[in-house]
Amino acid sequence: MMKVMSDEVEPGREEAPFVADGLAAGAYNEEGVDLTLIRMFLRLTPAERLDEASSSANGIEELRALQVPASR
Amino acid sequence: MTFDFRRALTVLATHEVEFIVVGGISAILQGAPVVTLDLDIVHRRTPDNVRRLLAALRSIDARYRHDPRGLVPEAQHLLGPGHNLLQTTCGPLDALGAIDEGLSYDDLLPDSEEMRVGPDLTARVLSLRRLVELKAAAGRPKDVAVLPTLRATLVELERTRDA
Repeated sequence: MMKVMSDEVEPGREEAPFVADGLAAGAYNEEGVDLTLIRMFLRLTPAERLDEASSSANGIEELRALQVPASR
Repeated sequence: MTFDFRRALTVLATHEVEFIVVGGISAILQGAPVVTLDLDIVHRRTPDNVRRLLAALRSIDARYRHDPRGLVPEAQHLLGPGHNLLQTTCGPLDALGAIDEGLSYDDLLPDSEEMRVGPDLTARVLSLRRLVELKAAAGRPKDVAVLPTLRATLVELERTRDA
């Protein structure tokens, strides 16, 4: 029998309730790594990840340039 | 200083350099949400490839980062197993003759794969699994610090591949 994709929730298979707290929702693994970040990054293509890497590094460099030497 | 890892890879590809992306950028390309400030490559240390690598490096004004005179790399530097830590117009680029206990391009080749990293650009990248193994074996604090994220990425990657 062919299955038809539908937005409707199957009877007897209700969606899990939304849990706002990431800790309670199991967003981290046992080592404390935020899995939501990994899943988000995995949705990008390698090319997009490469651009993100350049962008992050440039962002750090811009922050460094903004840094004011601590006053004595 | 400007970081443009895509341009660095494009320049290497344009010059037909044989190399494997290792380190942070290889992890990032495979989905690890980590930050890095340099592009690490292990290049093939044959005279022809080193000649192509030198041409590529000269086109992006590569100079040794740790040398105040701004010396440029020469063939004899790149033919050896040492780590050539360079500053380029695309940002820091490390041309590594060998990594971890003398692993060369040829040693790492079986654990690498071509990856599309731009519209008309591919690069050979060390597998995340091998990268995790190498970092675990190295055991240096900087490697140990990033291992939980790399391992978790590997698990997620394999889970999505199996799905």
